[in-house]
Amino acid sequence: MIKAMNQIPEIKWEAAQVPFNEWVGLDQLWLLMTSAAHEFSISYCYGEPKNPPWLQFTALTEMRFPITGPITATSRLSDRPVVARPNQPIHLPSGEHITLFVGTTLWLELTRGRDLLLDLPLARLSDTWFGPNTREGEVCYACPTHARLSMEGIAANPYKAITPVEIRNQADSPLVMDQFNLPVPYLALYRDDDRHWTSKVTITRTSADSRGEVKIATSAPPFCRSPVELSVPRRRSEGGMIHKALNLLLG
Amino acid sequence: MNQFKLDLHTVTPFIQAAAMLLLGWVVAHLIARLSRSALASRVSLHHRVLAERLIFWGILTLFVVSALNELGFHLGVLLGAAGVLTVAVGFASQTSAANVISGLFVIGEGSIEVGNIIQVGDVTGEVLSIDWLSIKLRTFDNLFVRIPNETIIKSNVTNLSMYPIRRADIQIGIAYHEDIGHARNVLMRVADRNPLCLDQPEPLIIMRGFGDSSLNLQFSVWALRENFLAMRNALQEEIKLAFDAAGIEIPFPHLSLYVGEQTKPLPIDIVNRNG
Repeated sequence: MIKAMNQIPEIKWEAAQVPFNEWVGLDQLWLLMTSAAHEFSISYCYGEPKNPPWLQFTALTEMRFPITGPITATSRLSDRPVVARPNQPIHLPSGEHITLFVGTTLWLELTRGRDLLLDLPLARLSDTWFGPNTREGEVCYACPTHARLSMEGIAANPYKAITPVEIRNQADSPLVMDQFNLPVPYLALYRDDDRHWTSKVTITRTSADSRGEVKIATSAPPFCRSPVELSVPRRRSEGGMIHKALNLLLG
Repeated sequence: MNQFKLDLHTVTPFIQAAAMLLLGWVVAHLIARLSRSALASRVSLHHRVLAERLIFWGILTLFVVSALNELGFHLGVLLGAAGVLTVAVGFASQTSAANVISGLFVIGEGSIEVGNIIQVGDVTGEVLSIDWLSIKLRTFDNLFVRIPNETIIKSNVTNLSMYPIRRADIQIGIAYHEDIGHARNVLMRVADRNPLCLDQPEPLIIMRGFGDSSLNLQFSVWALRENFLAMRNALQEEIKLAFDAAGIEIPFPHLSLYVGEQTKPLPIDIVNRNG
């Protein structure tokens, strides 16, 4: 973790040392952290990973803080739900279930004691709306995804967390799904040797009524070998269950 | 001079009534403020303000009734007198009465709340308070506008804060010789690259018709309510840049002079400047 005192603070993000006084690229987020006497400042902007944005003087945000205690850097998950939109619609016959693997962008959180200094996604996220109409629904982030059915062929990406999503179709009719709502703020973040993982999510479509059920596992997914918990969920669900109208879960 | 002397028995009820009114005002004020802070994290600002006013006026009314009682007035007689007075005052102040009644409807209807951004006629601003007679707005150029409640009831009011997402309709003209499909692709790419544009509902391009000098398109893009202005500003700039990069012409009004077969060519005189 990070320690920042009156001298140049030492900042670690997970296992890596974050250098001071030089631009650091974490996916699309570019950070410059500097320190002066009793002062710690952060500048950041977004740009393409191979195209440093400060050369273009794009919108740069700068913040300064007094150094009064140790600073902690934590990897977090998104603060809003994420709408995963597979490249092609998925057809799920009645009575079947599948497990999809969806990658979502990690966030960087800097805190000093209880004070939140910074809470930013590592890539610029696009807003979207998920709901049956423009009055009922939820503000989410959009996430175009391959939504692969197996882990084979998924390259390890240090800036993304993989969520195993099991979808169960217990209704009498087949399910054609071109997007689904992933309740990311309710998920915990884990890490194994080479990947980030989140809690497993199970979405069940039943025929009984138009409500859907989301079950969130309370432990690391079985795909995550030797898991280390990096952060707890941003929001707590009651008993790991969320009940929502089906048209607010599957689209 | 003796007849103007007031003895203690005459003055005492007035002093007691005045003290009761003062006490009532202080107590009502204190309890209303306490209720406001107690409700701060539970209900919206609008309901907090309403509750505060109800509590204040409710408590003050009780103390006023007690003070009048202290002075020897009986409530039944007072109510009867108030009825007669109301009719007289009603005739004399129809406008104010209409505003008070309209204010009750505005509050009851629930279509406007404190903190909302509303548009009434050509005034747009944030609702500061909904009072007995009027609604107070703060416009975006920091002006204070008072709109009578009767006007609110009678006119069209647009509440810009009702739903979480809004659509910006951007009117664009492209030259007649441009490929509409190409322009459509460029516009969709612009929306895709701007993170404030919502992916869903999808951006929409509507062909509005054939203008005098341009093909008129409407580019409708959705954004979160709080990002609406930032998105609309950024998008117009990005459209101009993207059209320039793609070589798509945004035309200005053209006037073509056509000389048909039936007429002679336009005469052109060449003037020798040297005379």
